[in-house]
Amino acid sequence: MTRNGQMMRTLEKIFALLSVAGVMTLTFAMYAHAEGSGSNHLDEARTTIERSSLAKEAQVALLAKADRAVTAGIPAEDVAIIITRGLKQGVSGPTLEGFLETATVVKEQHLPSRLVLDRIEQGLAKGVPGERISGVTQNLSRHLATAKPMVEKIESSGVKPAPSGRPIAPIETVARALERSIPPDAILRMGEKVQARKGSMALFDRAIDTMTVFVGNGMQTEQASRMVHSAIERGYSEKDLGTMERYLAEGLRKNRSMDEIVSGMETRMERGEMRDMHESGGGMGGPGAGGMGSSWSGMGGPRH
Amino acid sequence: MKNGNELNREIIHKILDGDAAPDEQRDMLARVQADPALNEEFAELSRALRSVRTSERMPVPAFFTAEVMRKLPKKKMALKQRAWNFLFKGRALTWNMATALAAVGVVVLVFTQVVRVQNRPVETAAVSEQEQTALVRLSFHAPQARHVAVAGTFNKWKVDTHVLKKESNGLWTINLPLKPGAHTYMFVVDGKAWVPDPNAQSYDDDGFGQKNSVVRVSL
Repeated sequence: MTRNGQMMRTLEKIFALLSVAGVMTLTFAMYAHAEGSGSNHLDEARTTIERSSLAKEAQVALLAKADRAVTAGIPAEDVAIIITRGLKQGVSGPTLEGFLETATVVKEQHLPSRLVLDRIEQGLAKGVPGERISGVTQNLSRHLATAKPMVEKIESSGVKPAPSGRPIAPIETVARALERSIPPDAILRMGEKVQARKGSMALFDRAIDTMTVFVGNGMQTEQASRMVHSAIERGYSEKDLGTMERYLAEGLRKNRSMDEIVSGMETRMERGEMRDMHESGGGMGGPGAGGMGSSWSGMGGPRH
Repeated sequence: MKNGNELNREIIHKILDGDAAPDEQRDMLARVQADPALNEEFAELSRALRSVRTSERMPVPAFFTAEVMRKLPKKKMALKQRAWNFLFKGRALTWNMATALAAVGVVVLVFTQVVRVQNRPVETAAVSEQEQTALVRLSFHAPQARHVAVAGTFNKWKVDTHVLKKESNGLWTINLPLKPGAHTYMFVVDGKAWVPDPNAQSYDDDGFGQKNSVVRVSL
Protein backbone atom coordinates (compact mmCIF):
# COMPACT_ATOMS: atom_id res chain seq x y z
CA MET A 1 0.00 0.00 0.00
CA THR A 2 1.39 3.41 -0.90
CA ARG A 3 1.81 6.24 1.57
CA ASN A 4 -0.82 8.35 -0.16
CA GLY A 5 -3.38 5.57 0.04
CA GLN A 6 -2.72 5.11 3.73
CA MET A 7 -3.10 8.82 4.33
CA MET A 8 -6.42 8.94 2.47
CA ARG A 9 -7.80 5.99 4.46
CA THR A 10 -6.75 7.63 7.71
CA LEU A 11 -8.40 10.87 6.63
CA GLU A 12 -11.59 8.97 5.79
CA LYS A 13 -11.64 7.37 9.22
CA ILE A 14 -11.09 10.73 10.94
CA PHE A 15 -13.86 12.24 8.81
CA ALA A 16 -16.25 9.42 9.74
CA LEU A 17 -15.39 9.71 13.44
CA LEU A 18 -15.88 13.47 13.37
CA SER A 19 -19.29 13.00 11.69
CA VAL A 20 -20.45 10.54 14.36
CA ALA A 21 -19.11 12.79 17.13
CA GLY A 22 -20.89 15.76 15.57
CA VAL A 23 -24.23 13.94 15.40
CA MET A 24 -23.86 12.79 19.01
CA THR A 25 -22.96 16.29 20.20
CA LEU A 26 -25.92 17.78 18.33
CA THR A 27 -28.27 15.20 19.82
CA PHE A 28 -26.96 15.79 23.32
CA ALA A 29 -27.13 19.58 22.93
CA MET A 30 -30.75 19.43 21.76
CA TYR A 31 -31.69 17.07 24.55
CA ALA A 32 -29.97 19.32 27.07
CA HIS A 33 -31.72 22.36 25.61
CA ALA A 34 -35.11 20.66 25.91
CA GLU A 35 -34.59 19.25 29.35
CA GLY A 36 -31.85 21.42 30.85
CA SER A 37 -33.38 24.08 33.01
CA GLY A 38 -36.56 22.14 33.63
CA SER A 39 -34.84 19.05 35.03
CA ASN A 40 -33.43 20.93 38.03
CA HIS A 41 -36.87 22.18 39.00
CA LEU A 42 -38.40 18.73 38.54
CA ASP A 43 -35.64 17.17 40.62
CA GLU A 44 -36.40 19.69 43.34
CA ALA A 45 -40.10 18.81 43.20
CA ARG A 46 -39.33 15.09 43.19
CA THR A 47 -37.10 15.41 46.25
CA THR A 48 -39.75 17.44 48.06
CA ILE A 49 -42.39 14.82 47.30
CA GLU A 50 -40.16 11.94 48.40
CA ARG A 51 -39.32 13.70 51.67
CA SER A 52 -42.96 14.61 52.36
CA SER A 53 -45.25 12.77 54.72
CA LEU A 54 -47.47 11.67 51.83
CA ALA A 55 -48.14 7.95 51.51
CA LYS A 56 -46.09 6.11 48.88
CA GLU A 57 -49.09 5.73 46.55
CA ALA A 58 -49.90 9.45 46.88
CA GLN A 59 -46.27 10.32 46.10
CA VAL A 60 -46.35 8.18 42.96
CA ALA A 61 -49.67 9.69 41.83
CA LEU A 62 -48.41 13.25 42.39
CA LEU A 63 -45.19 12.56 40.50
CA ALA A 64 -47.21 11.16 37.60
CA LYS A 65 -49.36 14.32 37.51
CA ALA A 66 -46.21 16.48 37.59
CA ASP A 67 -44.71 14.57 34.66
CA ARG A 68 -47.94 14.89 32.68
CA ALA A 69 -48.10 18.63 33.36
CA VAL A 70 -44.54 19.17 32.14
CA THR A 71 -45.18 17.01 29.08
CA ALA A 72 -48.23 19.15 28.29
CA GLY A 73 -46.02 22.23 28.37
CA ILE A 74 -46.43 23.61 31.87
CA PRO A 75 -43.03 25.05 32.84
CA ALA A 76 -41.21 22.75 35.26
CA GLU A 77 -40.45 25.71 37.52
CA ASP A 78 -44.19 26.34 38.03
CA VAL A 79 -44.83 22.65 38.72
CA ALA A 80 -42.02 22.64 41.29
CA ILE A 81 -43.32 25.83 42.96
CA ILE A 82 -46.85 24.45 43.25
CA ILE A 83 -45.68 21.15 44.74
CA THR A 84 -43.06 22.63 47.07
CA ARG A 85 -45.25 25.49 48.28
CA GLY A 86 -48.32 23.26 48.57
CA LEU A 87 -46.60 20.57 50.63
CA LYS A 88 -45.08 23.25 52.86
CA GLN A 89 -48.59 24.66 53.43
CA GLY A 90 -49.92 21.20 54.29
CA VAL A 91 -52.10 20.88 51.20
CA SER A 92 -53.16 17.27 50.58
CA GLY A 93 -51.76 15.17 47.73
CA PRO A 94 -55.09 14.85 45.87
CA THR A 95 -55.65 18.63 46.08
CA LEU A 96 -52.19 19.27 44.64
CA GLU A 97 -52.93 16.74 41.92
CA GLY A 98 -56.12 18.68 41.22
CA PHE A 99 -54.14 21.94 40.78
CA LEU A 100 -51.79 20.30 38.29
CA GLU A 101 -54.69 18.60 36.52
CA THR A 102 -56.52 21.93 36.07
CA ALA A 103 -53.42 23.64 34.65
CA THR A 104 -52.69 20.66 32.38
CA VAL A 105 -56.22 20.53 30.98
CA VAL A 106 -56.10 24.28 30.29
CA LYS A 107 -52.82 23.81 28.45
CA GLU A 108 -54.11 20.81 26.51
CA GLN A 109 -57.09 22.90 25.38
CA HIS A 110 -54.59 25.41 23.92
CA LEU A 111 -55.70 28.06 26.40
CA PRO A 112 -53.22 30.36 28.16
CA SER A 113 -52.26 28.72 31.44
CA ARG A 114 -50.35 31.60 33.03
CA LEU A 115 -53.42 33.04 34.79
CA VAL A 116 -54.32 29.67 36.36
CA LEU A 117 -50.72 29.01 37.43
CA ASP A 118 -50.44 32.52 38.88
CA ARG A 119 -53.65 32.09 40.84
CA ILE A 120 -52.53 28.75 42.30
CA GLU A 121 -49.06 30.07 43.20
CA GLN A 122 -50.53 33.26 44.66
CA GLY A 123 -53.11 31.39 46.72
CA LEU A 124 -50.51 29.00 48.11
CA ALA A 125 -48.12 31.85 48.92
CA LYS A 126 -50.87 33.70 50.80
CA GLY A 127 -51.87 30.59 52.71
CA VAL A 128 -55.33 30.30 51.15
CA PRO A 129 -56.87 26.86 51.87
CA GLY A 130 -56.31 24.33 49.07
CA GLU A 131 -60.00 23.67 48.49
CA ARG A 132 -60.65 27.38 47.98
CA ILE A 133 -57.80 27.68 45.49
CA SER A 134 -59.10 24.59 43.73
CA GLY A 135 -62.59 26.06 43.34
CA VAL A 136 -61.26 29.43 42.13
CA THR A 137 -58.91 27.92 39.54
CA GLN A 138 -61.49 25.47 38.18
CA ASN A 139 -63.87 28.38 37.76
CA LEU A 140 -61.12 30.37 36.08
CA SER A 141 -60.36 27.56 33.65
CA ARG A 142 -64.04 27.48 32.60
CA HIS A 143 -63.92 31.25 32.04
CA LEU A 144 -60.81 30.88 29.91
CA ALA A 145 -62.64 28.37 27.71
CA THR A 146 -65.56 30.80 27.37
CA ALA A 147 -63.25 33.75 26.72
CA LYS A 148 -61.36 32.24 23.81
CA PRO A 149 -64.21 32.20 21.23
CA MET A 150 -65.32 35.65 22.40
CA VAL A 151 -61.86 37.09 21.74
CA GLU A 152 -61.67 35.28 18.41
CA LYS A 153 -65.04 36.77 17.45
CA ILE A 154 -63.86 40.28 18.34
CA GLU A 155 -60.59 39.80 16.48
CA SER A 156 -62.41 38.57 13.38
CA SER A 157 -64.86 41.48 13.52
CA GLY A 158 -62.17 43.81 12.26
CA VAL A 159 -60.56 45.13 15.44
CA LYS A 160 -56.96 45.90 14.58
CA PRO A 161 -54.29 43.66 16.13
CA ALA A 162 -52.19 45.11 18.93
CA PRO A 163 -49.06 46.95 17.82
CA SER A 164 -46.08 44.61 17.67
CA GLY A 165 -44.20 44.23 20.93
CA ARG A 166 -47.21 45.15 23.07
CA PRO A 167 -47.68 42.41 25.64
CA ILE A 168 -51.44 41.85 25.81
CA ALA A 169 -53.34 38.75 26.88
CA PRO A 170 -56.97 39.37 25.84
CA ILE A 171 -58.18 35.83 26.60
CA GLU A 172 -56.90 36.09 30.18
CA THR A 173 -58.26 39.62 30.52
CA VAL A 174 -61.73 38.53 29.35
CA ALA A 175 -61.60 35.46 31.64
CA ARG A 176 -60.86 37.74 34.61
CA ALA A 177 -63.76 39.97 33.59
CA LEU A 178 -66.09 36.94 33.44
CA GLU A 179 -64.77 35.88 36.84
CA ARG A 180 -65.98 39.24 38.22
CA SER A 181 -69.41 38.47 36.72
CA ILE A 182 -69.13 41.06 33.96
CA PRO A 183 -71.68 39.83 31.40
CA PRO A 184 -70.36 38.48 28.07
CA ASP A 185 -72.71 40.89 26.34
CA ALA A 186 -70.95 43.89 27.89
CA ILE A 187 -67.60 42.49 26.78
CA LEU A 188 -68.74 41.91 23.21
CA ARG A 189 -70.27 45.40 23.10
CA MET A 190 -66.91 46.77 24.17
CA GLY A 191 -65.38 44.98 21.18
CA GLU A 192 -67.92 46.68 18.89
CA LYS A 193 -67.18 50.11 20.37
CA VAL A 194 -63.43 49.64 20.00
CA GLN A 195 -63.94 48.48 16.42
CA ALA A 196 -66.18 51.47 15.66
CA ARG A 197 -63.45 53.74 17.00
CA LYS A 198 -60.89 51.87 14.88
CA GLY A 199 -59.03 50.96 18.04
CA SER A 200 -56.72 47.99 18.44
CA MET A 201 -56.87 44.83 20.53
CA ALA A 202 -54.54 46.61 22.97
CA LEU A 203 -57.26 49.21 23.64
CA PHE A 204 -59.90 46.46 23.95
CA ASP A 205 -57.67 44.56 26.40
CA ARG A 206 -57.11 47.69 28.48
CA ALA A 207 -60.79 48.67 28.46
CA ILE A 208 -61.89 45.24 29.72
CA ASP A 209 -59.11 45.31 32.31
CA THR A 210 -60.28 48.74 33.56
CA MET A 211 -63.85 47.47 33.76
CA THR A 212 -62.60 44.48 35.80
CA VAL A 213 -60.59 46.73 38.13
CA PHE A 214 -63.67 48.91 38.70
CA VAL A 215 -65.86 45.90 39.55
CA GLY A 216 -63.09 44.35 41.65
CA ASN A 217 -62.98 47.53 43.73
CA GLY A 218 -66.68 47.45 44.45
CA MET A 219 -68.26 49.32 41.53
CA GLN A 220 -71.48 47.81 40.25
CA THR A 221 -71.14 45.94 36.98
CA GLU A 222 -73.62 48.22 35.18
CA GLN A 223 -71.81 51.33 36.42
CA ALA A 224 -68.40 50.00 35.40
CA SER A 225 -69.71 48.96 32.00
CA ARG A 226 -71.35 52.35 31.44
CA MET A 227 -68.26 54.32 32.49
CA VAL A 228 -65.81 52.43 30.30
CA HIS A 229 -68.16 52.25 27.29
CA SER A 230 -68.62 55.99 27.62
CA ALA A 231 -64.85 56.50 27.81
CA ILE A 232 -64.27 54.51 24.63
CA GLU A 233 -67.05 56.40 22.82
CA ARG A 234 -65.32 59.65 23.82
CA GLY A 235 -62.10 58.41 22.26
CA TYR A 236 -60.22 57.74 25.47
CA SER A 237 -56.77 56.21 25.10
CA GLU A 238 -55.23 53.47 27.22
CA LYS A 239 -53.47 56.15 29.28
CA ASP A 240 -56.81 57.89 29.86
CA LEU A 241 -58.26 54.62 31.15
CA GLY A 242 -55.30 54.46 33.52
CA THR A 243 -56.21 57.91 34.77
CA MET A 244 -59.73 56.68 35.52
CA GLU A 245 -58.29 53.77 37.52
CA ARG A 246 -56.07 56.11 39.49
CA TYR A 247 -59.03 58.40 40.21
CA LEU A 248 -60.89 55.42 41.62
CA ALA A 249 -57.90 54.34 43.74
CA GLU A 250 -57.48 57.87 45.07
CA GLY A 251 -61.19 58.09 45.93
CA LEU A 252 -61.00 54.82 47.87
CA ARG A 253 -57.91 56.02 49.70
CA LYS A 254 -59.89 59.07 50.78
CA ASN A 255 -62.71 56.82 51.95
CA ARG A 256 -65.24 58.23 49.48
CA SER A 257 -68.30 56.16 48.70
CA MET A 258 -68.44 54.38 45.34
CA ASP A 259 -71.44 56.46 44.24
CA GLU A 260 -69.48 59.60 45.03
CA ILE A 261 -66.50 58.34 43.05
CA VAL A 262 -68.66 57.35 40.04
CA SER A 263 -70.45 60.67 40.09
CA GLY A 264 -67.17 62.60 40.29
CA MET A 265 -65.69 60.56 37.49
CA GLU A 266 -68.69 61.17 35.21
CA THR A 267 -68.64 64.91 35.92
CA ARG A 268 -64.95 65.09 35.08
CA MET A 269 -65.45 63.04 31.93
CA GLU A 270 -68.14 65.46 30.76
CA ARG A 271 -65.82 68.39 31.45
CA GLY A 272 -62.98 66.65 29.67
CA GLU A 273 -60.88 66.62 32.83
CA MET A 274 -60.37 62.90 33.14
CA ARG A 275 -57.92 62.48 30.30
CA ASP A 276 -54.33 61.55 31.07
CA MET A 277 -53.90 63.84 34.05
CA HIS A 278 -50.71 62.02 34.96
CA GLU A 279 -48.29 60.90 32.30
CA SER A 280 -46.88 58.15 34.48
CA GLY A 281 -45.69 57.55 37.96
CA GLY A 282 -46.99 56.75 41.29
CA GLY A 283 -50.66 57.33 41.58
CA MET A 284 -52.43 60.46 42.64
CA GLY A 285 -51.03 60.82 46.10
CA GLY A 286 -47.51 61.38 47.17
CA PRO A 287 -45.78 60.08 50.26
CA GLY A 288 -48.04 60.24 53.24
CA ALA A 289 -51.24 60.01 51.22
CA GLY A 290 -52.17 56.63 52.66
CA GLY A 291 -53.72 56.55 56.06
CA MET A 292 -52.08 53.48 57.57
CA GLY A 293 -48.63 54.16 56.30
CA SER A 294 -47.12 55.97 53.44
CA SER A 295 -45.63 54.74 50.29
CA TRP A 296 -44.82 55.86 46.85
CA SER A 297 -44.72 53.84 43.70
CA GLY A 298 -43.11 55.31 40.69
CA MET A 299 -41.66 54.35 37.40
CA GLY A 300 -38.11 55.08 36.50
CA GLY A 301 -36.99 55.54 32.96
CA PRO A 302 -36.76 52.62 30.59
CA ARG A 303 -33.81 50.41 31.11
CA HIS A 304 -32.39 48.73 28.04
CA MET B 1 12.18 -5.39 -41.48
CA LYS B 2 11.84 -9.05 -40.42
CA ASN B 3 14.47 -11.60 -41.54
CA GLY B 4 13.71 -15.12 -42.88
CA ASN B 5 13.91 -16.90 -39.52
CA GLU B 6 11.58 -14.44 -37.88
CA LEU B 7 9.10 -14.80 -40.70
CA ASN B 8 9.25 -18.60 -40.51
CA ARG B 9 8.71 -18.47 -36.70
CA GLU B 10 5.76 -16.16 -37.14
CA ILE B 11 4.11 -18.49 -39.67
CA ILE B 12 4.77 -21.53 -37.41
CA HIS B 13 3.03 -19.70 -34.51
CA LYS B 14 0.09 -18.89 -36.78
CA ILE B 15 -0.14 -22.59 -37.84
CA LEU B 16 -0.02 -23.78 -34.24
CA ASP B 17 -2.64 -21.19 -33.24
CA GLY B 18 -4.82 -22.27 -36.21
CA ASP B 19 -4.64 -18.80 -37.75
CA ALA B 20 -2.65 -19.60 -40.93
CA ALA B 21 -4.26 -19.60 -44.41
CA PRO B 22 -4.32 -23.06 -46.20
CA ASP B 23 -1.72 -22.02 -48.86
CA GLU B 24 0.51 -20.47 -46.23
CA GLN B 25 0.24 -23.60 -44.11
CA ARG B 26 1.02 -25.95 -47.09
CA ASP B 27 4.11 -23.95 -48.13
CA MET B 28 5.41 -23.76 -44.58
CA LEU B 29 4.96 -27.47 -43.88
CA ALA B 30 6.91 -28.23 -47.12
CA ARG B 31 9.75 -25.96 -45.91
CA VAL B 32 9.73 -27.62 -42.46
CA GLN B 33 10.11 -31.03 -44.14
CA ALA B 34 13.03 -29.77 -46.14
CA ASP B 35 14.89 -27.91 -43.35
CA PRO B 36 15.98 -30.10 -40.37
CA ALA B 37 16.59 -27.10 -38.09
CA LEU B 38 13.18 -25.67 -38.86
CA ASN B 39 11.67 -29.13 -38.44
CA GLU B 40 13.26 -29.43 -34.98
CA GLU B 41 11.95 -26.02 -33.92
CA PHE B 42 8.45 -26.82 -35.19
CA ALA B 43 8.45 -30.16 -33.30
CA GLU B 44 9.59 -28.44 -30.09
CA LEU B 45 6.88 -25.78 -30.26
CA SER B 46 4.24 -28.44 -31.03
CA ARG B 47 5.29 -30.42 -27.90
CA ALA B 48 5.17 -27.30 -25.76
CA LEU B 49 1.69 -26.48 -27.03
CA ARG B 50 0.46 -30.01 -26.40
CA SER B 51 1.94 -29.86 -22.92
CA VAL B 52 0.10 -26.59 -22.13
CA ARG B 53 -3.16 -27.89 -23.54
CA THR B 54 -3.04 -31.12 -21.59
CA SER B 55 -1.89 -29.66 -18.26
CA GLU B 56 -4.40 -28.96 -15.43
CA ARG B 57 -5.65 -25.37 -15.20
CA MET B 58 -5.10 -23.54 -11.92
CA PRO B 59 -8.05 -21.46 -10.68
CA VAL B 60 -7.47 -17.69 -10.65
CA PRO B 61 -7.74 -16.37 -7.09
CA ALA B 62 -10.53 -13.89 -6.28
CA PHE B 63 -9.57 -10.20 -6.41
CA PHE B 64 -6.55 -11.25 -8.52
CA THR B 65 -7.04 -8.34 -10.91
CA ALA B 66 -7.74 -5.84 -8.12
CA GLU B 67 -4.70 -7.04 -6.21
CA VAL B 68 -2.48 -6.77 -9.27
CA MET B 69 -3.82 -3.30 -9.99
CA ARG B 70 -3.32 -2.25 -6.39
CA LYS B 71 0.31 -3.37 -6.49
CA LEU B 72 0.99 -1.38 -9.59
CA PRO B 73 2.81 1.85 -8.76
CA LYS B 74 0.32 4.66 -8.39
CA LYS B 75 0.43 7.67 -10.55
CA LYS B 76 1.25 10.65 -8.34
CA MET B 77 -1.72 13.09 -8.17
CA ALA B 78 -1.72 16.77 -7.36
CA LEU B 79 -2.96 17.75 -3.88
CA LYS B 80 -6.00 19.49 -5.37
CA GLN B 81 -6.90 16.37 -7.35
CA ARG B 82 -6.47 14.18 -4.25
CA ALA B 83 -8.78 16.49 -2.29
CA TRP B 84 -11.33 16.44 -5.10
CA ASN B 85 -11.23 12.63 -5.24
CA PHE B 86 -11.53 12.42 -1.44
CA LEU B 87 -14.70 14.46 -1.51
CA PHE B 88 -16.38 13.42 -4.74
CA LYS B 89 -14.99 10.09 -5.90
CA GLY B 90 -17.63 7.36 -5.92
CA ARG B 91 -17.13 4.74 -3.19
CA ALA B 92 -18.46 1.28 -2.64
CA LEU B 93 -19.80 1.08 0.92
CA THR B 94 -19.40 -2.19 2.74
CA TRP B 95 -21.92 -2.49 5.57
CA ASN B 96 -23.32 -4.93 8.07
CA MET B 97 -26.69 -5.08 9.83
CA ALA B 98 -25.36 -3.91 13.21
CA THR B 99 -23.86 -0.76 11.73
CA ALA B 100 -27.01 -0.08 9.72
CA LEU B 101 -29.24 -0.47 12.80
CA ALA B 102 -26.96 1.81 14.82
CA ALA B 103 -27.12 4.45 12.07
CA VAL B 104 -30.93 4.19 11.93
CA GLY B 105 -31.02 4.53 15.74
CA VAL B 106 -28.97 7.73 15.65
CA VAL B 107 -31.17 9.22 12.90
CA VAL B 108 -34.39 8.34 14.80
CA LEU B 109 -32.98 9.81 18.04
CA VAL B 110 -31.99 13.07 16.34
CA PHE B 111 -35.33 13.30 14.54
CA THR B 112 -37.40 12.68 17.69
CA GLN B 113 -35.40 15.28 19.61
CA VAL B 114 -35.90 17.84 16.84
CA VAL B 115 -39.66 17.15 16.77
CA ARG B 116 -39.83 17.24 20.57
CA VAL B 117 -38.07 20.60 20.84
CA GLN B 118 -40.12 22.11 18.01
CA ASN B 119 -43.43 20.87 19.39
CA ARG B 120 -42.73 21.79 22.99
CA PRO B 121 -45.48 24.27 23.87
CA VAL B 122 -44.18 27.58 25.03
CA GLU B 123 -45.95 30.01 27.32
CA THR B 124 -47.24 32.66 24.95
CA ALA B 125 -46.29 35.52 27.18
CA ALA B 126 -42.71 34.37 27.35
CA VAL B 127 -42.39 34.31 23.58
CA SER B 128 -43.71 37.72 22.72
CA GLU B 129 -42.48 39.80 25.60
CA GLN B 130 -39.75 42.22 24.91
CA GLU B 131 -36.53 41.96 26.84
CA GLN B 132 -36.73 45.65 27.70
CA THR B 133 -37.56 46.53 31.27
CA ALA B 134 -38.33 49.67 33.21
CA LEU B 135 -36.99 50.28 36.68
CA VAL B 136 -39.88 50.73 39.10
CA ARG B 137 -39.25 52.06 42.59
CA LEU B 138 -41.56 50.79 45.32
CA SER B 139 -41.58 52.25 48.81
CA PHE B 140 -43.37 51.23 51.96
CA HIS B 141 -43.44 53.06 55.28
CA ALA B 142 -43.32 50.58 58.14
CA PRO B 143 -41.04 51.73 61.01
CA GLN B 144 -41.89 48.77 63.24
CA ALA B 145 -41.25 46.09 60.60
CA ARG B 146 -38.18 43.89 60.83
CA HIS B 147 -38.41 42.53 57.29
CA VAL B 148 -40.35 43.66 54.22
CA ALA B 149 -40.44 41.82 50.89
CA VAL B 150 -42.54 42.25 47.78
CA ALA B 151 -44.23 39.31 46.06
CA GLY B 152 -46.17 39.42 42.82
CA THR B 153 -46.72 38.18 39.33
CA PHE B 154 -43.15 39.16 38.39
CA ASN B 155 -41.56 36.69 40.85
CA LYS B 156 -44.24 33.99 41.01
CA TRP B 157 -45.28 35.29 44.45
CA LYS B 158 -42.04 34.25 46.11
CA VAL B 159 -41.69 35.94 49.48
CA ASP B 160 -37.93 35.70 49.78
CA THR B 161 -36.46 36.91 46.49
CA HIS B 162 -37.27 40.65 46.47
CA VAL B 163 -36.51 42.09 49.89
CA LEU B 164 -36.90 45.85 50.49
CA LYS B 165 -34.04 47.83 52.01
CA LYS B 166 -34.70 49.84 55.16
CA GLU B 167 -33.84 53.49 54.90
CA SER B 168 -34.25 56.40 57.28
CA ASN B 169 -37.62 57.22 58.90
CA GLY B 170 -38.85 53.66 58.64
CA LEU B 171 -39.07 53.77 54.84
CA TRP B 172 -38.48 50.50 53.00
CA THR B 173 -37.60 50.71 49.28
CA ILE B 174 -36.76 48.54 46.31
CA ASN B 175 -36.06 49.15 42.62
CA LEU B 176 -37.69 46.49 40.46
CA PRO B 177 -36.84 45.89 36.81
CA LEU B 178 -40.24 45.12 35.27
CA LYS B 179 -41.29 44.23 31.76
CA PRO B 180 -44.03 46.23 30.02
CA GLY B 181 -47.57 45.34 31.10
CA ALA B 182 -49.60 45.15 34.29
CA HIS B 183 -48.09 43.57 37.40
CA THR B 184 -49.95 42.81 40.62
CA TYR B 185 -48.13 42.62 43.93
CA MET B 186 -48.33 42.90 47.70
CA PHE B 187 -45.85 43.65 50.44
CA VAL B 188 -45.07 40.85 52.88
CA VAL B 189 -44.22 42.23 56.30
CA ASP B 190 -42.16 40.10 58.69
CA GLY B 191 -42.85 37.05 56.55
CA LYS B 192 -46.53 36.75 57.44
CA ALA B 193 -48.66 39.87 56.92
CA TRP B 194 -49.74 40.51 53.32
CA VAL B 195 -50.30 44.23 52.85
CA PRO B 196 -51.31 46.09 49.67
CA ASP B 197 -49.23 49.10 48.65
CA PRO B 198 -51.13 51.99 50.30
CA ASN B 199 -50.35 54.24 47.37
CA ALA B 200 -50.46 51.92 44.38
CA GLN B 201 -51.56 53.11 40.94
CA SER B 202 -54.66 50.95 41.33
CA TYR B 203 -55.92 47.83 43.03
CA ASP B 204 -57.50 44.62 41.85
CA ASP B 205 -59.38 41.80 43.52
CA ASP B 206 -57.01 38.87 43.99
CA GLY B 207 -59.80 36.29 43.67
CA PHE B 208 -59.43 35.26 47.32
CA GLY B 209 -61.04 38.27 48.97
CA GLN B 210 -58.00 40.52 49.22
CA LYS B 211 -56.81 43.48 47.14
CA ASN B 212 -53.61 43.29 45.14
CA SER B 213 -51.76 46.43 44.18
CA VAL B 214 -51.32 47.06 40.47
CA VAL B 215 -48.44 48.72 38.69
CA ARG B 216 -48.52 49.26 34.94
CA VAL B 217 -45.30 49.58 33.02
CA SER B 218 -44.98 51.07 29.57
CA LEU B 219 -41.78 52.02 27.83
